[in-house]
Amino acid sequence: MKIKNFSIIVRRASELIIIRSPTIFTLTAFPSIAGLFLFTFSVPNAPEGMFWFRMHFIRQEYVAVFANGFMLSLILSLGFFLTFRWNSSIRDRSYGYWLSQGMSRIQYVVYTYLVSLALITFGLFIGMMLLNFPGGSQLRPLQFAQIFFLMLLGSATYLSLALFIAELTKDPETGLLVFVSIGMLLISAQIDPRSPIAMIFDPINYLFAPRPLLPVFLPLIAAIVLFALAVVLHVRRDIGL
Amino acid sequence: MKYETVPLILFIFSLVFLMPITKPVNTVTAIPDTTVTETFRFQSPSILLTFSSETLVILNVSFLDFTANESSNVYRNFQFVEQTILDLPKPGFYNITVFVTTLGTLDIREFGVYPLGWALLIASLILNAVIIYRRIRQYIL
Repeated sequence: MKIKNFSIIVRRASELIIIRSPTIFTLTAFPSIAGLFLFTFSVPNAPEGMFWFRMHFIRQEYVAVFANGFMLSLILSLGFFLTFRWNSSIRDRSYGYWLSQGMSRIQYVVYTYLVSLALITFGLFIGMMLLNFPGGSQLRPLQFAQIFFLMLLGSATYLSLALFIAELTKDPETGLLVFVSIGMLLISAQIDPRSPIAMIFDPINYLFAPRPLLPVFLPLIAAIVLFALAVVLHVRRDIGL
Repeated sequence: MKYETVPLILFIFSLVFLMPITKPVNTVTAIPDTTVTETFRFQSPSILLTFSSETLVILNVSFLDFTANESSNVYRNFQFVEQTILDLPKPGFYNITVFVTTLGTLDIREFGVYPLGWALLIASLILNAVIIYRRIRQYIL
């Protein structure tokens, strides 16, 4: 997972501050394992209706349980390992040390974001593969791709939101509290699935939708905008060396 | 980031194959002279069926194929008294239809791991053992 265009000092700093061993294991394994755990032990109720309608509904409920568990545990792990660590590394001057060595701020933010996203993608892909073989949830290749990309865009949006809130609050404990409470509310509250907020922050409603054009483009735009705002706030911030 | 973390992550993921061992027991309440059908998702190659009283139980087990929207019979009019073990061809959704002449409950417990699951688990375990052995030798020498 080496990206050539970034300088060695940026990679070293990111590996020593954010992308450390516990973060790697948590971001890759914890969301998918939590989702698969809930998927294994959940027993959804079948509605009344035709035979195949009922069966397809039950399968969609099972996959939605996996997605819910994935998103909730992703928010919990991002809240501590990204939002909290981000501000605490600035407060204890370990980030300022690397800045005094001539490190670029923008390169650091972009590198940390890309590596975190790569770790989440790796974990999500293995989790989805395990959903198919030992889970037996029989997803067709196109359905697999749709669920994978919707969940990936959702996690990218939450990653951007974590950085944005970290830059907005400028304090480890407050950032953790604000991000985790906002994320939990957005995932678990019953928002109208046709509203743009639900399309951006709750991709679970559209996992089996026939043509999810808006639920794909809106999170993409939101992730880019939130990340750009986070970068702007980070560049304009006063950081003690 | 070290490449040695990847096999360890794969090992953590392969522990998912052991998860269905701790699954709770599913029960079907059977009503006399009436067929009762329920859907279950089985992750294990075998299931243990136990009926509460000593009477003849007639079972139909069918596998639901979602990619083709069809269900295929795995066991048709399978008969047993009190307890039996059934082997299932693949993980997935199954419909179980029960027909009995007395009131009772049918307990369904799944057990075992598929051979591919064991193979992946043991392969990742050996890979990690090799990596840890190499690292210990590096520190000692």
